[in-house]
Amino acid sequence: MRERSYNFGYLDEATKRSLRRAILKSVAIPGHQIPFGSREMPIAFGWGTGALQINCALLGPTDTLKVIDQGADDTVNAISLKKFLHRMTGVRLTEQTSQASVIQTRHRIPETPLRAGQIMVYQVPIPEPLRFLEPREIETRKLHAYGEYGAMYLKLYEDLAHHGESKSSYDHPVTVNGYRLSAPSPIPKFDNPKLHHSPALQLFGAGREQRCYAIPPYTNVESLSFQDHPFRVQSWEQSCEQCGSNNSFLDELIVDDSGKRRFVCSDTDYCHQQLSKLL
Amino acid sequence: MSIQLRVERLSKSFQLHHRNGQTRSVLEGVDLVVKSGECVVLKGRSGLGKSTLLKCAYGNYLIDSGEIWIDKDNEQVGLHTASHQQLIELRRHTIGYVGQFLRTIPRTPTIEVIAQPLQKRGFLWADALERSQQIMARLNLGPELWNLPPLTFSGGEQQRVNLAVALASPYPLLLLDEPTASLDPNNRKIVCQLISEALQQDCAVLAILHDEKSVATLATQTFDLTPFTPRN
Amino acid sequence: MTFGYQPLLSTHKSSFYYGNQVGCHEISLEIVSGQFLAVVGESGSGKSTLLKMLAGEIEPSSGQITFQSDSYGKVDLTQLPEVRRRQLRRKEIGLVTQRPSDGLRMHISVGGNVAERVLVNGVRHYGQARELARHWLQKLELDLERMDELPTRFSIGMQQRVQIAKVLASSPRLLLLDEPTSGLDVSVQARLLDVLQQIVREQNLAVILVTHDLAVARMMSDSMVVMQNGRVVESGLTDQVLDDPQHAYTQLLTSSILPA
Repeated sequence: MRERSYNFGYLDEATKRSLRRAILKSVAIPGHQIPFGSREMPIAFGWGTGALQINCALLGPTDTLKVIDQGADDTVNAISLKKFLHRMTGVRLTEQTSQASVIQTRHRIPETPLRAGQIMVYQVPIPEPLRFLEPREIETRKLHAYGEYGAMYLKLYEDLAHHGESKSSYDHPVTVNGYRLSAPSPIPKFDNPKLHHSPALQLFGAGREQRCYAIPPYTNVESLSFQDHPFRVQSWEQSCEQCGSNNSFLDELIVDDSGKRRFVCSDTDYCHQQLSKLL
Repeated sequence: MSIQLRVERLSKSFQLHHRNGQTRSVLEGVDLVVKSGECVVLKGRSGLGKSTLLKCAYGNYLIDSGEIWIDKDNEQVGLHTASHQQLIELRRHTIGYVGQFLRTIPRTPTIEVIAQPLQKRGFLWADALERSQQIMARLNLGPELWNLPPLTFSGGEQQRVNLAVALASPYPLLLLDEPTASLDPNNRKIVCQLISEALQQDCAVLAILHDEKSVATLATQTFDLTPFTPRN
Repeated sequence: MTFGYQPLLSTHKSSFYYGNQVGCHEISLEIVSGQFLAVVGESGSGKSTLLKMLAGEIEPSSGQITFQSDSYGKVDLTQLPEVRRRQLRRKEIGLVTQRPSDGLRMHISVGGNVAERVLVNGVRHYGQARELARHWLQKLELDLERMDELPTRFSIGMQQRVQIAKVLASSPRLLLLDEPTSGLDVSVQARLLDVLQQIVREQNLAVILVTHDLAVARMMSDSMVVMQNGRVVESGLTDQVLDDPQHAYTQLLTSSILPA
C-alpha cells in the first residue's frame, strides 16, 4: 500500500518534472551526460540515489518493479530500495525479469533477454568514463565535444599490460550510437553485449554526480577494443551448481573454512527459472 | 687569388655596465684583407686585441663600427649585418674557428664531437664518422680515445680535438687562436703540416701564433695590430 | 646571398598579461628545425609564460605565433580553431614540463604514459602502441624490464626521461623544454642532455629550451634570448650573447656564473 503522507513517488511534482525533462534530453542525445538537480534522498549517496530518483520520476501506478543488486533480488540493499519505492508509489513488485516493466539494477543486466517496453535503470557511481584520465570537468567536456577519445584506450592498454588478455573487467567503456563514449556502470564486461541493440530503454543515474544518461532502444553500443585484441567476454569451465546453466554469469563462492568453492548463477531469478524447468 | 675575408675600419670596445658604465676601447679602425691560400699572422704584445679581432671575424663579438665581409661561394656577405641564421649558416659552411677552450656536452664521445659539424654541413653520418677518424688519426688521437668524451683528455689532447673539428671540414676560412700553444714539438709539426695542406687547397687563414717556428713555416704575411689600438 | 631557410615557429610581438601584470611583453623570436633556442633569465622573467603561450596552454593577449605545421601548413596559432590547436599539441608540438609529475600520469605505467601519445594520435593497435613505447623508452636509455611499473617508482631523472620519451613518441616537430634538468644531479643531467641532443639531430627537431643554467644553454643552444621583466632584452647567437653581452642585465647574468 502506498504511504499517503508523501507525494506519489516521494519527490514533489516539480522535481519529478525536471527529472523527466533531463531523462527525455538524455534519450534524445544517446550516451551524453545530462545534469539534473539531484535531491537529498532518504538513503546515502553511493547506495543508488541516482537510479532511485529516476524511478521516483518514472514509475506510474500500473508499473511492475524489479530491483536487483549484483543480479540478486534478495539482498538487503535490493529489498530496501524495493520496499521504499513500493511505499512511495504502491507499484507491484516482482522478481521475474519478464514480468517487470521497470528494473532498477546495480552492476548486472539480467540473463533473461529484455523486451520492448521495459526500462532498465542503472545505479552509476561515476558517470564520466574519462574521469580516471582527467579530473577537470571543463576538460572532459572538451574531450567529448571534440571526440578526443584516444586516451581512453590507455585503460585498455593498462589492463593488457598488467593482466594480459583480461576478460573479467568491469565498467568497460563503450561507444554509444557510433560516437559518444560512455560508462556502462560497473556491470561486468560479460554484460556489455546485452547493451547493444537492446529492445529496452536503458537509463543511467548518478545521484552524487548529478548526471543521467541513456541508451535508447535498438541503439548501437560498441565496446572499446584494440584491433589486435578484439573485445571478448569471459566464460567459465564450470556450470552453475544449482541449475546447471553453462551460459550465465557465475559467482564464485567460498563455502567453508577449507576454501571449498562453488559456482552459482549471479542472476537469482534466472537460476530459479532454470531450476523450475528441471523439476 | 680571391679575397676571403675583408675587414674595414673595424672598431671594437666593451661597455661595462657594472663598472660605472665605463667603456674600454680595444680596436680602432682596423683594415685587413686575407686572401685564399694566404696565412696572415697577427702580431702585437698580449692584451692588444688579437683574439678580439678573431672573435669579431667569427661573429662571437659584435663590432661597434666598420665592416666585415666574408666570401661565401663567391658572394660577399656582411658579417656586421648578418642575421642569426646567416651567421649559423656561415659558421656551418664557411668559417672554421679554433679557440683555446673546448666546450662539449660532457658525455658526447670525441668522434661525435668532430662528426656532428660535418653532418650539419651535409655529410652522411657514416661519411662524417670516417672523415673524423682520418683527421683524428693524423692528429695522433688514437682509436682508444675516439669513444671517450674529450673532457677526460689532457690539455694538449683537447686542443687537438679542437683542431680536428675545424680541420675536418673544408672551410674556406680558418680563424686560429694559438692552435699550437699547448702542443709538444712533434704534434706542433703535424698541426703545421695540416694547416699547410689547407692553405694549398686555397683556404684562407687568419691566425695568432706564438712560436717562431710555426710562424716561419706558415705565415705568408704578418699583420701588426699595434697601430690600431687606442693610445691611452 | 640568399639563405634558404624557413622558421618552424616565429612569434611577432606576442604578449601575455596576467590582468594588469606583464607575463611577457611583445616577444618576437624564431626557431628553425634542427636548432636549439635557449631562453634564459631569472625566475619570474616570463620564460615559462612564454613557453606556455607557445605550447598553446594559454592564449596570447596580443601578437602572432606562426607555425609551419605538417597537417595544416603555415598557420597562426592564435587564430587556429581550438580543436586544431589541440591536435597540434597532441602531435606536432611537445611540451616537457619542469616537474615530470606535471607531464606524466602518475597512476599509469611508464609504458602506458608513452603509449598514450601514440593512442591519442589514432593508433588502435595494442602491439603497435607498445612497440613504439618500447622504442622511445629505449632511446631514452630506460630499462624496458620496468616499462609496466608506475612512474612513482622511478627517480626524478628517470621520470624526466620518461616524459621526454612520451613527448617524442608522436614524432613532434617542435620540442618545448621547461627547465628539464633543474633538480637533477650533474651526471644525470649530462646524460639527459647528451641523449636529447642526439635525438634532436636525428629527428631534425626545433627545440626551445627554457633554463636559468647558462652552462647548459651554452652547451646546447645555437641561439639565445635573454628575458627580464617579461621582455626580451637581448638576443643573438649563444656564444655571442654570453661572450660579448651588450645589455646590463645580461652582463650581470654572465658575470654571476662560475666558469664552467
